[in-house]
Amino acid sequence: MALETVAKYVTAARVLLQDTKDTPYRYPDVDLLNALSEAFPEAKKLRPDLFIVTPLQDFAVNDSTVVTMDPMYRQALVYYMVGKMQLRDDEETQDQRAAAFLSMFQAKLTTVS
Amino acid sequence: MAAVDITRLMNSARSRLTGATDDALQLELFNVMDDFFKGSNVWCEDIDFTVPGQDPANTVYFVTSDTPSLIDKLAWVFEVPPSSATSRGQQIGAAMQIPGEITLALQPSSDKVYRATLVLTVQDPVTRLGYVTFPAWVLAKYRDRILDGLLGKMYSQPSKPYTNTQLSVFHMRKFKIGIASARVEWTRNNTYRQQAWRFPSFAGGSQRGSSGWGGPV
Repeated sequence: MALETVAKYVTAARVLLQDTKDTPYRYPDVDLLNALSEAFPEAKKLRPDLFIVTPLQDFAVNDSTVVTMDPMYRQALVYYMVGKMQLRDDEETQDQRAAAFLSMFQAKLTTVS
Repeated sequence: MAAVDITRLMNSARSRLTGATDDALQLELFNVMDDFFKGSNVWCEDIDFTVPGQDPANTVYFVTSDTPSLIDKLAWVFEVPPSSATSRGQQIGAAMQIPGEITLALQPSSDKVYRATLVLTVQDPVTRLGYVTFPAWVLAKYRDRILDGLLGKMYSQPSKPYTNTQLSVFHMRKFKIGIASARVEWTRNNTYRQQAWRFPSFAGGSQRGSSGWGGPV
């Protein structure tokens, strides 16, 4: 199943960020992991029912640690990671794109989309 | 509870609640069953307790349910008859100010065994899979009404993919009607177009046999 582990989330985010080639990457692992960790409380704010049993997680290493999230809502976390990266002020970034991803994160959690 | 029954209920709910998680469904199912049992009184249990003669007035007699449940109300207390040919002895005036603590209106002068009928509701812990526990026949008999309650409570949650105020009102209304009709069925002891009580055989005149069961007072 896709999006089971931390590594799969980072890979999925890099695809949308067009950051899959060469090392070092444009967006370091640590920044993507921070974004993934930050996505959890943001998701809980919108959907507390997703965390009745599942705890909030925090990630520091890009490895095979399992990310416990209902499969229906895993893509939302990827959108949040991409949105956070796109908020950076650099030549590759567009504010509209960042806003679009963060909106998609919210829409994925709260609507049928 | 039969796994097939609860699976059918959950699948019926899942197909109507886009994006709902099982954890949220299980949480609301507990609340639905609590509402249902407190409103309908359909889950009852008879508990015998001994009352020694000469106990002082207002002596508290503690009763507990044998099943994983919470005592909600005291339905009635009858004296346990000495003969097995009679289902009940005389009715006893009793109260239960705190669930599980029975006091009598009049203390008997000799040792007696009384039978209290308690109305129960659900309690924690739930099963290992997270499901609330209650008698299987309740889900079999009231499946549609329980589903209405579950859908009504889920639709009423704010800011969810399945939030729907109109459907919430619709299903909660059906659920409340379902509770009321279950309560009526309970007072009639699930008999069709009859009162719950019968005249005992010695009173004569019954053309329906003489094996009256007793029933709600």
